[in-house]
Amino acid sequence: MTPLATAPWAKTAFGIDCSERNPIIVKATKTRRSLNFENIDETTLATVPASAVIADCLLQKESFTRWLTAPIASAQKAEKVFPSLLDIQLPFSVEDCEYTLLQTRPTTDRTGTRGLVAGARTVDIEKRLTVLSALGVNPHLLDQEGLALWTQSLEESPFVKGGSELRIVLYLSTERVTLSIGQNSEFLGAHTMRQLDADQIHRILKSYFPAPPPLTQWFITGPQAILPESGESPLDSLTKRWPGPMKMTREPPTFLARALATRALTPGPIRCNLRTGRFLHPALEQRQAKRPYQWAIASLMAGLLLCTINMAWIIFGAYRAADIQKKLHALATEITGSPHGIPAGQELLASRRAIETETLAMEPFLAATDTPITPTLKTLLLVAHKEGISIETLSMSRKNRVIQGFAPKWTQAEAACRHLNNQGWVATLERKDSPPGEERVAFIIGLERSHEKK
Amino acid sequence: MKKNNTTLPVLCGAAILSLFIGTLLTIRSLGQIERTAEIWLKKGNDLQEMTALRTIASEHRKLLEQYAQYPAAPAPLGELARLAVPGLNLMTRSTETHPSVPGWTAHKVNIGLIDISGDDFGRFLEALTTTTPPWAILDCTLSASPAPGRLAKVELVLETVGK
Repeated sequence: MTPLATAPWAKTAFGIDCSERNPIIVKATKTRRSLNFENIDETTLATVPASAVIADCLLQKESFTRWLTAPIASAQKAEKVFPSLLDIQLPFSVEDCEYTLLQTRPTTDRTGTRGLVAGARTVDIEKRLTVLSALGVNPHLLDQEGLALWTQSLEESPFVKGGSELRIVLYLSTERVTLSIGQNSEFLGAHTMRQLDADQIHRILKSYFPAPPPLTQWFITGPQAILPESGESPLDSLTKRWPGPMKMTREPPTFLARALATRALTPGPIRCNLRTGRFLHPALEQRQAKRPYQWAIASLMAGLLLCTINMAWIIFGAYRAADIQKKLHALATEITGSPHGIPAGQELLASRRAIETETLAMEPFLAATDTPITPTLKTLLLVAHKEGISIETLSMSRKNRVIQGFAPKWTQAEAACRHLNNQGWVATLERKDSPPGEERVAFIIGLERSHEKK
Repeated sequence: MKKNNTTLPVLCGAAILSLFIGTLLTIRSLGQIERTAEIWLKKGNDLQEMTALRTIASEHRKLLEQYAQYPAAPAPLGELARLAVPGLNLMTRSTETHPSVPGWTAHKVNIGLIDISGDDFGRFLEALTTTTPPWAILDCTLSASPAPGRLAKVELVLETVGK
């Protein structure tokens, strides 16, 4: 199980930098979008709420960071060989360390895997915890100094594409100088020395970059941070050999403490906690022990939710089907008039048959109300009378509807046609040859119902 | 947090089981969703059609109720013609009866009207439709008489119902 390297559940974190005589403590409080920092004194630590997280770090001299390269493309497999590779690189046994793999990435030729490991000897962790215990502090997280300096510099001055390629964070305190080096946004390594030694720093940088890049970005921080004023300081000498802008970070004395508090509260790359294994803080141990239960409960809830949704769907479907079936049966019973004997699924068929039979038997009743012949005949007689039309033959049946006659003028035949159309007929007027001696216009009207028209 | 050693395996087992059953049910539901939708659509259409059929049945019942108010026997055509058009020459060609809905008999009559004027024919039609139960014209053939005075010969097939 991956050890907890941050405490995202916490709202408050205390970052402690014990490098000076008096510890520098920063309280970070999570707000909706950012973190609020507050410098506090040592005495406040006695009243730290249980929900808050305390983060300290192992100094660079007490810990190590290493980039390891395994000739295996699969990251999962490479992770298994990293301990052996680390064992070869360290001057002490890996069994005597607490270490953690922070990042893996494929090599540039993609045939291998690179992994960033941070660790510390158990004796150093014990010593650090003893020192902190003497101060009345029991940190939840033990970070790594070089990594903390690097990520905080990126947090406060994000990497800009096309800017400086090489970034150096120089932490200056009364008892040490720590150097955190990175290229673009990638952490390369960290080093420490007792005092600022420009030649030593130059040698370290040369080990990463045989030739200085065009631009180097320098960040000066720490309780003793000061920008060079005269042209003969060690920092001047460095910027001459590794040219580039040298800037002071915001509030340099609290930079490391801020870094530790930020890393404790926010997830991000290369987060590290070396207080693992037997050193694990009881609160984190308890939280870590809860994780399998939380996963099991979450999975159980998800499974139950799936079952519930599906069961609800099945029940709803069955209820709806039964409801429709019930309505169909009730309608069929009402239509057919027979409460029994309609098999399920036959409701529509039985109803159709019942209505067909009933309609057939009802035909004499329906004929009196439905047949359009009588009103049409009445209209026709009225129109004929009005327009002076004489009807010669007329045939009105269900299949054949034809009127033949004479009109004084064609317009009168057309008027008769219009009257019939108004009654819902589709009347087709056709002119016929009048017999010799007949001055009136002979016509023939064919009638169709609109729904019969093809 | 002290928990019984068996709690986690039991929880994991229950979670796996519930996820397994949930997944099976989801697969089943997804597999059946198209068919279920089809069935619901068909049943919905059936319901619509049956509602329309019920409307027809209801109209039939109303019509029967209306006819039940009328005299049991239809008005005799001869008397109807005499009342509407005195002196009308009505010839009954054929008469037939057949059973209609239970309790009712349909009467179909084929008549001929000789030398009837347009106005008289209109009056006779009015009498046919206003009497209760009304007579329906199923078929009408009219041919003008060659004689002057706009008289015509009309053949009618009429139908009505009685008890």
